[in-house]
Amino acid sequence: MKNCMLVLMLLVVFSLKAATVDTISVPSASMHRSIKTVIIKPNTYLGNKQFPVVYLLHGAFGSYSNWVLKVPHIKQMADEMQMMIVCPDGARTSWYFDSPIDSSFKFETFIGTELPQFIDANFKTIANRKARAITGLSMGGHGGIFIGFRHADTFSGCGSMSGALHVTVITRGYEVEKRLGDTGVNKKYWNEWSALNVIEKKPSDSLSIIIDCGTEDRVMPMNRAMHEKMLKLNIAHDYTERPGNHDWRYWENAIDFQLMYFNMLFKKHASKP
Amino acid sequence: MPHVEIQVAFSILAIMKKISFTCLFLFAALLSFASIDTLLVYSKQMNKSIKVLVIKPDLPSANIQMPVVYLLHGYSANYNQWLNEAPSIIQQGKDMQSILVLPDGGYSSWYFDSPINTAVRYESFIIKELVPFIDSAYSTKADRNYRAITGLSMGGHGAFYLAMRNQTVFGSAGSVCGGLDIRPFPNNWQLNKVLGDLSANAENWEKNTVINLIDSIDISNLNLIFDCGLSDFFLNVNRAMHQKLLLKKIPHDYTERPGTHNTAYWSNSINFQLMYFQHQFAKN
Repeated sequence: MKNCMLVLMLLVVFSLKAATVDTISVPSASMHRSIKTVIIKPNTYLGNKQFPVVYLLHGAFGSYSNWVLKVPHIKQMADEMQMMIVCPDGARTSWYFDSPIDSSFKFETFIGTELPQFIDANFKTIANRKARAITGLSMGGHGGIFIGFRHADTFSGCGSMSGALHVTVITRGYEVEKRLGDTGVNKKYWNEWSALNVIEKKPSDSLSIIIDCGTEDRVMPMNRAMHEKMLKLNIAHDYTERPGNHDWRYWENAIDFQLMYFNMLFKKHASKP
Repeated sequence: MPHVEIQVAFSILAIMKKISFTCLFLFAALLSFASIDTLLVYSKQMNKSIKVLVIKPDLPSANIQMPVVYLLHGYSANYNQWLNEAPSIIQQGKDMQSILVLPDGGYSSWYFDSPINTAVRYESFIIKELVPFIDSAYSTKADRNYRAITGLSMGGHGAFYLAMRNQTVFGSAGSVCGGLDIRPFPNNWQLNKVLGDLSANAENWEKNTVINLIDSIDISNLNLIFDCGLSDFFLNVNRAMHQKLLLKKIPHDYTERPGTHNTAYWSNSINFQLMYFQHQFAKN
């Protein structure tokens, strides 16, 4: 009986153990430097299990630690959904591009290629696009769609929360010009690399897409334009409008629905490999 | 009843003594159990008994009071539809520590008290009889802030209709591919059996369709969530509802996603709606 109680207590302690958070430096060969990245591992990580991964991007002027500090309950979500969450730094305003004018900014290559390779090599992940998704807020929402569509061989799901989804018109205040250069000279990039236009090239791999925005948010028109365009192009996607502004109160709510969406996608893929 | 529980506990302890590995397993199973009751709830209003499913997480303590989500089925279905077609609600109800109640709404009641047929009184049944009964028979948080109602199709209309007209009872409401404006469908789904033919009974239709309720009722205290599939015949009425609510600046969550009017759609959608209700319950 005593033994049983002990085992039971151990069981309870084990099940109460929460997700772990590490901050690591991930080497980027393309940028010749390391990029700080937060890694959230679920509470069962010690076993032999392999986990799906959601890559979660921050907004303009933010950093790798934003998500876990502002929305600490994503740790519980990682436990409940048995997934890893990876939050890379986006250099304040990289816009997650490989800058055509500044070779020290290669964030598309880093997040679309180098980082998933590093994570798969160093953590117990399910190393398959079917168990990888990418999303983010604001600039990171643009990044989620931009990288998701251009690296659909790496990600099977992509999302955007309050995404600044049309960089073509963000010509001042958010340092897009520092990454893409002169709007006239580099017009090609300003147009073709806007998420709103990136979706015109449909990837050969099927993508599951989720987009949401607050009805009080200034970027709402960009999101409605994205929804309309995806409807027109017959690109299947979940689209939500809900109360809220461009702030953490909105994102701490929205992230739960996005993680649930990706969790269901991963489960669907796991049951039908 | 307590006697039975004690016996079960003892027999489990006996097994635990023998094999500790099995004991872990059994105990885990016991901890994660949800019970499903099929009830016959007598309705004085309609002078008949109505079948109701109650899905209840078994919590370590019987004294924990839980929020309740009412789930309404669609036209031509019955109380069993949600459980049959979306069995994942059992696990989710348990995770969110809430009781789920699935009442029968008849073949085509549309959850109205029919103005033309006194035998159909489903609004009165749910509001005046079922909710008080559930609160008396189960350990619930008997408060609008911890009560939500949602449903699919006919039940989506029903959930919004009941919540908007009975805001002391419900604090949150959802609609999954609901027919939120019934007027474009005068010859469908036996609506004329409960409201009369549209041509002769236009007023019944005008004053009982959800999209019109928001003109006369202040619903700013309700938490609303609704969604529809992009290939659903109800997409247009959902879009119209979304636009009307935006215009009136009434807060609500609205989602469009791939899908049509079928099980695959609502068994997916309900996961998001239950999470929404969980958030609303946690706010209070």
